[in-house]
Amino acid sequence: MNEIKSQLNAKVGDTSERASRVQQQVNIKKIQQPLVKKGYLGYYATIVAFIGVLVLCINLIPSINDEVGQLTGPEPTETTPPPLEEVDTAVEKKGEYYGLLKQYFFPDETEAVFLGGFENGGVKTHTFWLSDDYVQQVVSNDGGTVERVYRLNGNQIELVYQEMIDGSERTQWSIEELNKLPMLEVLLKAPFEIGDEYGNWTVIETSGQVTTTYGSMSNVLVVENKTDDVRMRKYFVQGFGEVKWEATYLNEESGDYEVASNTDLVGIYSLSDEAANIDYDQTAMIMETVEFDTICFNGRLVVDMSLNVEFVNGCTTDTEKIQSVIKILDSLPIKVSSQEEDGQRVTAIQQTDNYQIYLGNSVSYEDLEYQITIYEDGIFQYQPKGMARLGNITSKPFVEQYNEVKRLLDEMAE
Amino acid sequence: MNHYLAEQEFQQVMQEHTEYLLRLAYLYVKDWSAGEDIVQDVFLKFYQVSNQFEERSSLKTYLTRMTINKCKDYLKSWHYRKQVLTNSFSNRTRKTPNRFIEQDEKLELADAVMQLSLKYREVIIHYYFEELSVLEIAQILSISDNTVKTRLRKARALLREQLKHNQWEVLLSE
Repeated sequence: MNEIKSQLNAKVGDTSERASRVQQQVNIKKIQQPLVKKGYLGYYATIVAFIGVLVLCINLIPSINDEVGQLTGPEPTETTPPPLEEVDTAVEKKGEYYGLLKQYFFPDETEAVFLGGFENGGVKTHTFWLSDDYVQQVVSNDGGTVERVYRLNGNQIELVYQEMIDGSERTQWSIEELNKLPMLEVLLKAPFEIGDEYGNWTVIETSGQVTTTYGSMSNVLVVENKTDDVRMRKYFVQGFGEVKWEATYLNEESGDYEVASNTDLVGIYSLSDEAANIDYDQTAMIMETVEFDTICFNGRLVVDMSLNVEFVNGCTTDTEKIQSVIKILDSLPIKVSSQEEDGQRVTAIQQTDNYQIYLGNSVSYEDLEYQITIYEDGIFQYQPKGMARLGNITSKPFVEQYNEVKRLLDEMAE
Repeated sequence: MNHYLAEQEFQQVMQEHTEYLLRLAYLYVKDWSAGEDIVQDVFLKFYQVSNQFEERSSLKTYLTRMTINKCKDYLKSWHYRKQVLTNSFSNRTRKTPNRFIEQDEKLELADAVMQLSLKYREVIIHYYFEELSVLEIAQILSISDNTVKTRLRKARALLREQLKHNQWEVLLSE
């Protein structure tokens, strides 16, 4: 036996008791879970196949009658088979309004950035033109990421795919796969007329006006979904696409609709050259170069069901510990939060674990420059020192500052 | 198939493979509690598809791969990362029942192996501990045999750096 095996065996020790425990637990839990064995699968497959044959037979009956009719009728004329390229397509010939409809999507490989959205965390829409007839959009906000695929079919835009893809890459579709996607709903249908309905949405304006953070726009198509006391509106602009959506609720006292959430366009950037298109807010903070040599850590951990709390804290200049911090930060999504959410999380600290990492210039809490708070749900938010400097925390400079801090952590670890 | 026979076979599979998979899971995740949970999940999953396998020679590979995948999922999970973060900064040593068993004899080489990052640790585990061939390791980890060889070389080099005594001589002959 080689030395590594010998030592690892010694380290691992006797596992017989653990193995018995594992087997015991498996035998208990397996009774509780549904069993789908191959034998049962075969049984169900047989039934499905039988039903399929039945359906096929039923469908064949009218065809058989037709054939009989044809036999007694006039000679069938020779028909030309359709060109091969049209056999598997789900797209009709481009409608006369194709040129108009395609303008209701952002250009290929662009990122549209929006303010507002889920918990005011902002929204990003990445657009990819998969072909002349298919557009893929990946929409992400603080609630998650969803992939949608639209088909330009005749004179309408159809939604054909919609799935959450949190943590995953967007789907790489083949045309064959896209053509097989069923229509889920109609997004828009030209020509647009007030009163046109697409499912629960009604066209209420075809040449309206809208103001967004990006700018004021005209010739706006507005669709509305109104149910009971909630009213939602989406605003579409040629050359852009969906530039704004809002949800309002009816205030019964005043009789007015009040805004519950509002999401509107900030800017559009090329995904291939995003850095060149950054458009900083005029009030953006300038990143100051900060040098530090210490990481301090402060944690409140709920240790049992009675909500007893254990405090763990300390400061270190140990590069190994710093490296382990970097590894963890790298895996977490940075979340730029609103001040409202920040306030909510501060209240939540009383009951949940949280970690605050301070970067300082001495082994103490005295000179703190940055505060990174990591929460139980794996989301962390980044704040520069002092709440007064938060400003518009959704603006890009704060994300840039986080990246700079990470770079400094990397340097420190080296 | 006779349900009693299938149940008997499943119990036999568990008897044959539990300890091996437990050791493997532990060497991956370095936590007995997590390792036990992972092996439980593997067998529960296998129970659902136990009729699928006829050839016992491929069963060990199948169970091994499933265990490795679940270990890697665990190591990516927030629950695990939070533990690492806490342990990195805690002033007090948090007592856990899952610490390495401390033996009287020096286990410097084993300690060094456990300190390796996963990419290198796993090839060492499969090559020296499981005594698999390079090709077998490549199959289990779904990487090329060249990648396995490269990682083994790098892992040995890292171990040499870490070890202070001459135990690294055991690696010289490889």
